[in-house]
Amino acid sequence: MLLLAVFTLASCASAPSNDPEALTEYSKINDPAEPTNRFIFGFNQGLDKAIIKPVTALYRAIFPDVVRNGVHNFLNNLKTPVVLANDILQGEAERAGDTVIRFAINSTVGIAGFRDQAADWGWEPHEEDFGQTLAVWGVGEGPYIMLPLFGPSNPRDAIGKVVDFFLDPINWWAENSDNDWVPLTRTLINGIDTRDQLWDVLDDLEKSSIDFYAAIRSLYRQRRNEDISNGTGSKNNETPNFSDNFELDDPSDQPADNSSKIVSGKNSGTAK
Amino acid sequence: MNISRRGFIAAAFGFWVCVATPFPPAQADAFTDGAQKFIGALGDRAQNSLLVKNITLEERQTRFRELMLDTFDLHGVGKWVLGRYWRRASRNERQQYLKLFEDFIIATYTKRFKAYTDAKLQINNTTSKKSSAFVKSQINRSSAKPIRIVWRVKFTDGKYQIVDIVVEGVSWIQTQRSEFVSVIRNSDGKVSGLIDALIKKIAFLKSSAG
Repeated sequence: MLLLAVFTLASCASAPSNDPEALTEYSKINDPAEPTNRFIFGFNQGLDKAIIKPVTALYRAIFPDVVRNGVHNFLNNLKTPVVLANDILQGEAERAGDTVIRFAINSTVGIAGFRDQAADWGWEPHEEDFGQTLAVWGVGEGPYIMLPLFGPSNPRDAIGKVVDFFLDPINWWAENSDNDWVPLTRTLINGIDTRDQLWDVLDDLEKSSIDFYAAIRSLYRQRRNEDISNGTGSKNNETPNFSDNFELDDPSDQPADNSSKIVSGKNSGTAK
Repeated sequence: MNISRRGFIAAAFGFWVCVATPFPPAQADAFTDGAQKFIGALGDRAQNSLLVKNITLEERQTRFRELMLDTFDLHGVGKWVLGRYWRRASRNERQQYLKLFEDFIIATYTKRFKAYTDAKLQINNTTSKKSSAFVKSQINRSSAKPIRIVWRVKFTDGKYQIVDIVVEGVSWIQTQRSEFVSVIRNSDGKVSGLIDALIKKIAFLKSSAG
């Protein structure tokens, strides 16, 4: 862990010091450890190709959609205590109620959670985690980090993951009864299920992106903002503000080979 | 249904506002109305020309290109996506880039429409902020969950144009910009690096592997 920290610091991309535009861009990208992150991303991709994707392919080949959906629902139902705790910590009474009702329906009528009966009856699932709770409490995300195995994250969400682990009564029980294999197995199945859920999305994205790493970074941030605002888009501002960038008729819009003077400051080309 | 429950509350509230207040809400103006109709018409047109079965890939590409050039602000978005590097690009690079940007979109998305021949675009409501209208919609399919889509629309030179498509909270132009800027940064800030990458990617997407 210490080694990783040293490595991270040593390979920080240096911040541009003189150009204000470049500095704005640098802070906007907010990925000071990009070289290290890209290295870990490469490692994760290698791991995916060698193990995770083949295992998931096997899982997809053996089990039909119905079974895999069942497993997905079951895993979601197990997350109930953590989701509920975070609903409450965020002061979301209505969503907390939904979570309780969903658990009651799916654990019984939904046959131990394998069927998402609650969704059919109008209680749609939602995700909450402690990273989101911290965001609602006003904690900033911090710089982007790529975690080995776990993928895209940031200090806030990484801390959130650890807290969620300790919030989970299943993990308390496993700890107290020496059943360490339970969280481990659950993490493994969760991983395969997540990879399965992302199968088409990742395939499409990898094919169509010209910088897969940058695409994942952008998508991770946007999706997190969306989840934090519970899909209302209020904190995400829905889409970037480009009011001044779409009217590029001012003199600074001349191509580089057409004008010797480049006006900086005006129309700075960065989104807010 | 949580969403429709909220939708019901919103509708009830909207009704109350309309009946109880002497002035209509500021949102329902000619601009938002027009933007909503524009997206509605786009949905119909896509359904009839693009999202049909039994046409060749070439035919679908032609139809998509036509539809896109009619309704999408390719030039404005292309500029925005390049960020500050737009100004650094030469006249020649700009032209080349905009053409490649167009081809890149066609090459990336045309194949995907095949999976959406049973899709129906349902328009929910429209809001506006500054000079943009946000048309909120969802794509309904028989086999899958609805997909939430917000169309960001501008009105310039006497016509409506799409300037962003936000799918489940993810802005398309924002994602493209992150990628394009990243490629340029990794080519010592040269737009030619992005142009090379786009040429390669389009060739890949046109091959059977893509």
